Amino acid sequence: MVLETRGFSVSYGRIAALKGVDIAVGEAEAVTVIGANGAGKSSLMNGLAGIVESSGYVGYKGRELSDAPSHERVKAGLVLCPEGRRIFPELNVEENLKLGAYRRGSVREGLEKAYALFPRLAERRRQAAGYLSGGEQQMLAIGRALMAQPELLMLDEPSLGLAPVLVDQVFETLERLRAEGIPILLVEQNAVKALSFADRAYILENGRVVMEGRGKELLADERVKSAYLGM
Amino acid sequence: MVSILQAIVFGLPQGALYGLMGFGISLIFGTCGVTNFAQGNSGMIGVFVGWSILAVTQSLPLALVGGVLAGGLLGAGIDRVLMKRVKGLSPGGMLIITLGLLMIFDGMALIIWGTQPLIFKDIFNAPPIIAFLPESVNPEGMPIILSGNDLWTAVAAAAISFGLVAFFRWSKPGVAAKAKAQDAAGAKAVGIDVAAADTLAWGVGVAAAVTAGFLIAPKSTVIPTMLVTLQLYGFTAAVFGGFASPLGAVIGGLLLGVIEKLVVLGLETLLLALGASGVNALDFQLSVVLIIIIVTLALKPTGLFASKFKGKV
Repeated sequence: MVLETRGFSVSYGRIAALKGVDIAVGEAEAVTVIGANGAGKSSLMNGLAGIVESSGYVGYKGRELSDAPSHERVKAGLVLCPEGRRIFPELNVEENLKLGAYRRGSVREGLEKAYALFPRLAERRRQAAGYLSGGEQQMLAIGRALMAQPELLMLDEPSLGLAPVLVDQVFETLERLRAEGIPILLVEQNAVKALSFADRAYILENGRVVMEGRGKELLADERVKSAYLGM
Repeated sequence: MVSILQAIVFGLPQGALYGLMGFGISLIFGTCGVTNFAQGNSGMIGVFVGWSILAVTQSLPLALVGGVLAGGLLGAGIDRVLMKRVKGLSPGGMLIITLGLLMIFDGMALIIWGTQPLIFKDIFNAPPIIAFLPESVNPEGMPIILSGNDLWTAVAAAAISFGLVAFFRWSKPGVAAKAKAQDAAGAKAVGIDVAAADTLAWGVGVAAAVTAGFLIAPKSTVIPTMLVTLQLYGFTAAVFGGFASPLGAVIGGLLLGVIEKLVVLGLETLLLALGASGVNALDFQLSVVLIIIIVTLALKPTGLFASKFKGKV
């Protein structure tokens, strides 16, 4: 297993957002976590990245990262592309990308790869990131996460607020990364897309895992269909 | 004409000091979101430490380095010991905390170093500069005067300010602090140690206030209130520059120095024309600064160099 959690919990003051979750991501595996708003998906991702405090066990590549600060997790190759892009608006595109390699990864190789993946970013490399369109900002956020040469890439709602054609583009990019063998943990609102993409999936409800299985199986499950796919 | 030029020549050295003071205020606010009302008094503590080192060792370089280091440690300590514990407090709560620090440092200095003004050695010792402009532009033959010490003080203040601005623009830890200021969650996501970025901003910010203190010490003497007025100017410079932009604060400080002298010159001329000889225009200098803060906040609350994307950067 690349990543494994046991009893993983996240609380904000007295409000428990995530109540003891066990999930796992294997080598070269694409795993998705779906659920309604407020189910705890972003808490899971931010907790795993060390951006918010968490309790419970986090194992990553045979070592324990339960209490590691965010920068140590990045250093170990556990990299999050956060919800809402979280790019640096005043810095230009290239400066944003370079910061992606702040802890690990090579700037030169990373830039080449990011620009090859998203030629649009190369065209706008000197532009302040705050001036990019939503889709371009999302590309930048993914590109920035890739700069660290992740050994497990976590993506929180990468398709949020994007036009359908851009959503397809994001998933095409994810397919390519999967083909390279990078393990992926994906949180998505777009359940149909996410389930068809992923090898395995977890369904989160009120901070707990209520179902897990192969992506395609869940896609065909009647309960999942009525609750999350609107069918 | 010559008197306007003279006002600018007097104003720029002052402005460089305002900018250096404003730099630290902006840096701490921009990076950590805390308005540090104890900025002047934190710097004052560093100057006192420097004075003590000078008294013991008689070495000026050692005193300057020691004082600046002490300021850096004090700033880093405030962040690690105090600010980390009160994270997420309301701006009002933060205001009370930094005001509390201001009073604590004031009391500390009184207890340790007493109430007598202490003399600090002149850092520079240069003769005044007197320049005569060519007759064509200056028929009255009035010279432009500038104290040599003021000139070197200004050069030092400006060099330190712009040097620090460059450090925070291009160095790796500097860029990390800047990224943290723009998006803390994004900074964590790329692996920036945001706690270290805060500590760096506090350390460098207070150390900058100590250097400003050393530069004015020959004139102000070393007393607990030595940086109180300069802090007010620093805040004005920072407001002028957009408050969260250190470069804005440095440039804002230079502008403020010149505007201040020009307004005083204008007032002098006005008072002379009105025949009010008993009133000294210099007395209005500080009022001018306060009016500039109010007018800036009323007309352009975002300052001259504010972020294009959101309030806090």
